[in-house]
Amino acid sequence: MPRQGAFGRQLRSMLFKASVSDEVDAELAFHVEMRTREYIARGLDPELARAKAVGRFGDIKRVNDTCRRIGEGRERDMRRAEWIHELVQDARYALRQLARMPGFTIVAALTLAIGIGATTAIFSVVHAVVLRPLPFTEPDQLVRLYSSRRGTDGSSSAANFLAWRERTKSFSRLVPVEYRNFTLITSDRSPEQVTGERVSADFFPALGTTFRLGRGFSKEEDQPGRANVVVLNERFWQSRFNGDSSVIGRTVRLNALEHVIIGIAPASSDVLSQDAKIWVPIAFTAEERADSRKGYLDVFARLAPGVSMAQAQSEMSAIAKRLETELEDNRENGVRLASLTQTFVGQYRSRLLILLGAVGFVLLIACVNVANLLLARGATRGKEIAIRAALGAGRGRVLRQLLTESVVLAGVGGIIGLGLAFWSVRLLKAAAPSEVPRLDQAGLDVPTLAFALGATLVSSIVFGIVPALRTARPDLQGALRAGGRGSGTVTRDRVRQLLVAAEVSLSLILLVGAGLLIRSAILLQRVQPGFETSRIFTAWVALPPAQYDSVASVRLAYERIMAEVRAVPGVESAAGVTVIPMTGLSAQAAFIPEGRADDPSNSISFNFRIATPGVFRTLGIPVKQGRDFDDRDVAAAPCVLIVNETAARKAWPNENAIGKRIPGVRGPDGNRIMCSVVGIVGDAHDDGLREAVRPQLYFASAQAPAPLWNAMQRSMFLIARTTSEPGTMTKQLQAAVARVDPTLPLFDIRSMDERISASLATGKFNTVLLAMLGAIGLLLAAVGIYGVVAYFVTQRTGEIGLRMALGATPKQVLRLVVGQGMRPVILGIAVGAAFAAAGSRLLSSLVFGIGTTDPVTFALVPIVLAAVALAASVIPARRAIRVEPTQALQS
Amino acid sequence: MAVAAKDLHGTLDALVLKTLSWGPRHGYAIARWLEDTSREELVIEEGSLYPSLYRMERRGWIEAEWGESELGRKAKLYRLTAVGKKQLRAETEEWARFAGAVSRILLPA
Repeated sequence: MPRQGAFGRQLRSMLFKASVSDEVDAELAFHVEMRTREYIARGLDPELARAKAVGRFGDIKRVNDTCRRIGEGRERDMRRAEWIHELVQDARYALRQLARMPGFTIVAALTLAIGIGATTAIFSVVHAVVLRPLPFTEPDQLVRLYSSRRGTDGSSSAANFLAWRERTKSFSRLVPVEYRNFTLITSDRSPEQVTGERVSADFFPALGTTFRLGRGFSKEEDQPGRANVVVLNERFWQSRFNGDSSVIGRTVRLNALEHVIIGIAPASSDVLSQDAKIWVPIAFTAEERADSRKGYLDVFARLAPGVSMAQAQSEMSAIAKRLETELEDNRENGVRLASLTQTFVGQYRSRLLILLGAVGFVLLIACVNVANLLLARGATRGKEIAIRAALGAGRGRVLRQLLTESVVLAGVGGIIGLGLAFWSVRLLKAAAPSEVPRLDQAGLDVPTLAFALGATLVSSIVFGIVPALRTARPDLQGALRAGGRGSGTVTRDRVRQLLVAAEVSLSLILLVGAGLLIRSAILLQRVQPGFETSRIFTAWVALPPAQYDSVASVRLAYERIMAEVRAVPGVESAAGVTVIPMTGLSAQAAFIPEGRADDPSNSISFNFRIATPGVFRTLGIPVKQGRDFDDRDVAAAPCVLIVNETAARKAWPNENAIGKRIPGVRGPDGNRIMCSVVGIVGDAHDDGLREAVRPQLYFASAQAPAPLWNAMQRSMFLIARTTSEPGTMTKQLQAAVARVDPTLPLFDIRSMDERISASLATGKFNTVLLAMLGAIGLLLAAVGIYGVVAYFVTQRTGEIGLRMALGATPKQVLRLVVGQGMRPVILGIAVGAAFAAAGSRLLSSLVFGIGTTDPVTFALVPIVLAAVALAASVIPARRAIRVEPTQALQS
Repeated sequence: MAVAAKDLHGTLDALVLKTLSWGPRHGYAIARWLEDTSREELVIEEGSLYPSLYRMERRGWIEAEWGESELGRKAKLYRLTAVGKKQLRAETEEWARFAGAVSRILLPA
């Protein structure tokens, strides 16, 4: 029996390809026949011989079935093995191909790496900050409740909260949170100011907290007089107590009262304020319970099983409607519900999703570029493909080969991209403003890696499919002709031009977005804050209620502190004020100016603050009319007010505000204390440069009544204009305050310049990122345009030579070639501008001082883009006019 | 008395491999060779032989191709592969150990 070679076997199996079932039938029939012959040879009658052979075989049907099953299994194994073998072969072939053209491979892989890397990095941040569920039990059931007046969300009063909790059936738990500051004193260190929250016993159960150590608050501890317990935030416990587990049961002094540490809660429990270091029971006093005026509670709740947000909202609205008249001073006080997750990631959601979209554009541009490169390369590979097709590779097989090359190419790009993403995420985390929640958890985690893999595969299809379909087209004759320039060239050029138009559109949209933000940043820079920012020291100080229980003691303490601070050498002037610009803090109160009807529609919401004399001089806010507070404004003197220009305009339009009166807060006798305006000061952008100036109202610190001081937690910002850098004065100023009360810590010590730049950090970060993405997009688009024109020049060298031989001037040739490059650019700019005009609305919350269809941006960006495109096409076009006609015609 | 090869568990594979070590054969020829060589002491049952052949083909111990039989008819011929040769050696050793152990017990010297 001659042995056949592998080729022969393959050939024969192709020609004689029987099904497994036919083969088994034939084989078994053959066996029976041979056995029959054997019996005949032994002398049996043929009929009998056959019967005996069949009988001896037994259950032929069962054997047949068994064999067919095993045989088919083998076929499956082989097909799988063959598929894997081909894949490995294709991948190897692809790697060889890529290695053969290192220039192409490096450019394409780097282009993809930039696209995939940037997309992955931004996704990692978006995932960490926005997409990941909050780390609580069923976070979707958690709801934020706002007291809302005329469309403005605010904090809630205790009376309102308690009435809600008593009446609602929509929530399984309703939790009040008061954010506040505490003076913490332990035996081993000097007093320090810590931020924390007063919360009800429901707080931790509502979140579903698992305690690291110890426990939460019991119902009994959530009552006045018993609330001397405290839970520490795990992060604070680590940094302040070195993670010492023996702190449980230890006693510390908080605001001069002893508290026992009973538990350590995970850092994520800090769901509303982002920087609560400790929690104490809220333990409402009888006085607090009755108060429906002072809004200081942030309320969240867990929906009862089966209750939807809409149902809860309608129930709460009905409850609030009744409470408007039942509670004192509660008119127009509604309730608004929002998902806690949404409030938590709030503003970052839209910003980050815009960034993710922008970075997706960069990836798309990268894909279009690589598609263009592949198309150009496909043209030169026509011959190779045709030979493979002639050798029997079907179109599907060739297509698969080409797509495998794309996947391998994208894989190389993806691996480099992951490296880029790793560094970008670290860079982003270091550069991002610190208040972005959960950003520290961004990294190359499993979802991010899965995203990178997905981005790699999807982009390999996106950039690979069109070139592969074109290249795999069985255009045998054309391709096999010498020169390999088939009839496909014209259509291929058109496809390439469309791709260029697409990437120009994409980068135009990207650049318009970046341009709008850059313009906003420039305009923002020009905004006058309305106060001096340099050489101003600021720090926060709060007087604990236990030691400073009377208004008189509070006033006296601040008087003495100011005197000490002003005496410090290097301090030009100093003052105290309850709220300073750029802190994000504000205290609001609504008053009706004297002489207007007592109707809610006449009330004006003021940002109010308590100030010592000298605030305006220290902050450099001009006194436009009247005077600053001074020694005359003592407790016994008539109540005086200072307003800003916006307040004056709003309360007394077209009138002089000086001397006008406002009934302020209620005095001890229950009547409102009438205060008159003695000064008008310039407007200052207190809430940030972006925000419009609100009406402001200043009370004199020596006159401000107890309710105002209590609302501000008896705290003030200490501001001092210094002769040298404010940072160098910290020690002296701390010492000055300690001379008045050594247990008073200074908190949040920063210069005004630092506060301003911090307030702009988030916007700046966004602008810089989007500008960088726009620049990358522009660069990639330029590379793409350059590629197309350069390819055009190489393909048409002969034609160009002919034209020049026939007398075309270099100028004409230049115009022909550049025109070829610019036609898709013009189309792309037109289409891109239309999309940008429609889509830029998404940026409306981020722009400042301009509309989202800002004409300057929409004029400048196309000009820049066209100029870059022109440059990118002139460079290869200049090569064309240097072509020697004779040389060109010979080639 | 003749013994059915399937009663010697796992031995049929080894016997088939051994048969094929003399050259390619079709199923019937394998059965006949085993019967003849064992002087009809072994009865090879078709119901065991063919599944065994298909299994070993799937495992890659033997490979099959259609060729001419002695009578000029198409027959499926099996051939030992390199893997099959290795398997045969392993099974032979295994059998020797097994037979030795059984002999020491049943036929003490």
